[in-house]
Amino acid sequence: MKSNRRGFLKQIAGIGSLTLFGKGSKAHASRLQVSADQFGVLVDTTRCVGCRTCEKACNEINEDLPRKTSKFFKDESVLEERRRMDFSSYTVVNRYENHSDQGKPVFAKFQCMHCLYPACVSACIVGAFTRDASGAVIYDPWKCIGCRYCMAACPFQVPAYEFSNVLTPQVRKCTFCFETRISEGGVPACVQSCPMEAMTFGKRGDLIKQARERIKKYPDRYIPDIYGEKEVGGTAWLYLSSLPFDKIDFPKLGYHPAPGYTEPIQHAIFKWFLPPLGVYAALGGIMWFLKSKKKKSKQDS
Amino acid sequence: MNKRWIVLTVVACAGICFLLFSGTASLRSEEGKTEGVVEPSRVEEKDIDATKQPVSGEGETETLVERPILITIPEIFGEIERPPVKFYHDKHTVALEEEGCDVCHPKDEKEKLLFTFPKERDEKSEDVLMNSYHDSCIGCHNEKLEAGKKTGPVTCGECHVMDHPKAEYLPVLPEYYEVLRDTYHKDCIACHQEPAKAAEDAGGLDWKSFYVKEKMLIEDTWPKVFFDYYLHDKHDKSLEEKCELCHYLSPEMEKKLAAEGKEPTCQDWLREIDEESSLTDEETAHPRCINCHLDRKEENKDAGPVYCKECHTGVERTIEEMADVPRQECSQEEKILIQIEEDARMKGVPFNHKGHQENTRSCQDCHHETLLACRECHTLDGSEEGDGITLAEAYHEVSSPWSCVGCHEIEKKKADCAGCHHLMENGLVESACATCHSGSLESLDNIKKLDVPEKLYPDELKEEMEITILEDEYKFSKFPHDKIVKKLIAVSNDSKLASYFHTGEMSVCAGCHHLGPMEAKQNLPLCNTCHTVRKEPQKSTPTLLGAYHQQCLGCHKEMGGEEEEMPQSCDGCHEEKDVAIAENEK
Repeated sequence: MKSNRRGFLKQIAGIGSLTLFGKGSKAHASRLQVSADQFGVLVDTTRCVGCRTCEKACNEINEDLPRKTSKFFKDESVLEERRRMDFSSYTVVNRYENHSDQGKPVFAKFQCMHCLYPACVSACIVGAFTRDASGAVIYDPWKCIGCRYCMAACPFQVPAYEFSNVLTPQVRKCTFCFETRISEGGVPACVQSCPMEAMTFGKRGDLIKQARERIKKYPDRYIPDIYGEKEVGGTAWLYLSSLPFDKIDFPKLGYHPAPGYTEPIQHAIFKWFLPPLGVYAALGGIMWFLKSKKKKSKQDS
Repeated sequence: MNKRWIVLTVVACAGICFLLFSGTASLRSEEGKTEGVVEPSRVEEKDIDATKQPVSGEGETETLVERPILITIPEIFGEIERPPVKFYHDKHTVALEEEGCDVCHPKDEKEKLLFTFPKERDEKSEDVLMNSYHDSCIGCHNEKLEAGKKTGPVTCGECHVMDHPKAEYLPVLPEYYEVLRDTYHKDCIACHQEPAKAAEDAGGLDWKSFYVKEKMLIEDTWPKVFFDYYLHDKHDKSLEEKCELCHYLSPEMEKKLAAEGKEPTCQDWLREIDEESSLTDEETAHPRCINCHLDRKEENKDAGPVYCKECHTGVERTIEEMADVPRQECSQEEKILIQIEEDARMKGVPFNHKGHQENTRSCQDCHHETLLACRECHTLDGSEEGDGITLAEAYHEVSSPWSCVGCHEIEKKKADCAGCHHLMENGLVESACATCHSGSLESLDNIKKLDVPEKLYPDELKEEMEITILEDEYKFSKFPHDKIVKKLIAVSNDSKLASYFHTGEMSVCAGCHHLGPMEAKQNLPLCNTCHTVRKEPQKSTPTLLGAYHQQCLGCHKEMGGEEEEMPQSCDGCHEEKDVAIAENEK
């Protein structure tokens, strides 16, 4: 972002007025505008064949990630273990045995779900996470102080930390290809690359309609549920599956936005800075009381 | 000053007391735990003994572990004070073989065994019934003991074993077992997820073998005996086609039927005098089956089994296994025209009853247990007897395995059909109504097999094509169009069902070319006519890349053929470019 003197002064004035009136701070995660026009991705796990082309495409487009060889992406033995995202990958494909239909395993790609009410945005104390109107939850490494509250807050345990990097560690999670593709009118690299077209990129409202149509058209193929439609208030990434979602490692979460639980606590503690002041005042009071008592007893003796 | 010290000492004493108390409490609870562990293991030994008892059985039944009968009778006893008795019936059958069944079971006035227990059963009250059980079991055991023979337990705790029946195949119980006990077996794979991990998860058993053993042993009831065509035929032959030996019809019933101008049907015979009972009830089936088996044994004829597990095998024969078994002669005509009303909106449906008989496991597959015609219970407006399901629903309901359409849907899910049909819409398709509703019996005989494809191809069609969409990374994929068409035609011609419904000469083509006019010798719309290379944001139509993979790979996966014939991996269709170059260099 280019900044000049005028812009800087404007920002300062803005921050000043916010601190003065204090009402601007209400613009936190749970009150972000959510519209059906924001982008999303519908993942149809019944179509996925586990080729991991999406992982490869993700690694290629995100230059921050450590390079991996194309041999790694062709190695099928990787699927034998259940993996999670780490500092070196924004997305992973896992294989799940299908006990009701032997010999036909189910594959599921996993990455940041890009919640409509992201807990990471709410938990971040320096505002390194923001949710864009497009639906992407974006991370700014320049603001991050490495407290890793986001990792604790995320209901899907998505953000990973670059523990191996001593000096400039970053939190790593899927970017929704925000800078590289979406902001230029493209679709995320993984969606583009999928040969089975298991992923569909589009407006979230349309995707939900599409998902419902698919369930209606093929009632035997899907369980009648769209994961992400309502979970934690809704996510940009939506999933269809033939197996119950807890069988393919999707956590059972409530329908309430995750920040709804944490924010009242976090924000109440620091409200107007009064509760901390209260604590300090109480401690100070006790100290003063004890001190004056000591003095008294000394005087008495 | 002094006061403060007193308060402090009091608090300290309280603290020490609390620590001591909680310590002993935890010790006590540990003792409890060890006791709890000892008991099931003791029980386990006993149960293994029980299952080791030699029980004569033939072939398939030998592999089955004997299942105990849990004596609970909740409708009389409610929740019982002691743990329920696990009764090993076959163990008793072996031990008392010489003395006969009537040691335990009463006989009726015709000297036929009634399979109730105990012999002197008195249901006056809870206590009286309990005593009749106790007197019979313990009395017999005591008699044997006095005679110096091997016998069963006589003390309370030996029969009423403190043990959950589900526990015996869990060598090491997980800590949370108690909590999960009730829901434990509803979802085996919750714990036994993968065979490889199962060793840690559940004492060395993978979910499959675990489940099979559990299913055999643990379910509170024995598996139902499925009286299929095979069993019926076996009885038919050994009883020299004397139907009346099983299908007994009382004189009153015969008279009544004659008066109404009806003939007895299979269903009438099964139901006997009492309309409520059928051979599917334990109370009707046990005396009739076992008595007959016993009688024939006495007469030294080949007799059916008398042990529980020989009938209740839990093994279900498939249609393929029963292919050679002749189906029953029934009064039903071979081919019928199903026409409910003369002026119905749709024409009647010709129905090949015999053909369907060959593709079912028993009459009950379609006729439920009543063996009546559909319309007897499922009336046009729905009736109580038909569970409110109307006749139209009974024929057309997509989700029901009993209905015509529903059963055909299930057939379409089989590997051979699913290749094409998995991408097509389920259920009733408007254009296909007339295929069934043809209105004439002749259409059953006019089944055309699909012709050789050469007559349909346009002149310029090549036998093998090249798909170049991923040419940056891979060499051209070879697409054997001719081979695929011939395979699909062969599959369709092999199946009676498919032959009947694939009416058009081009119907196999529609599996891939799912849109557009179907005319022989004409160029059909190609994939790239609709499926564009770039994604069109407004449409949900897959791109060309997606369409190819969904169609090809989807079909290969559904049909589940050999890798060589129907590749399912990337390399199967795409040869990598750099690999090929490297090989050339060599």
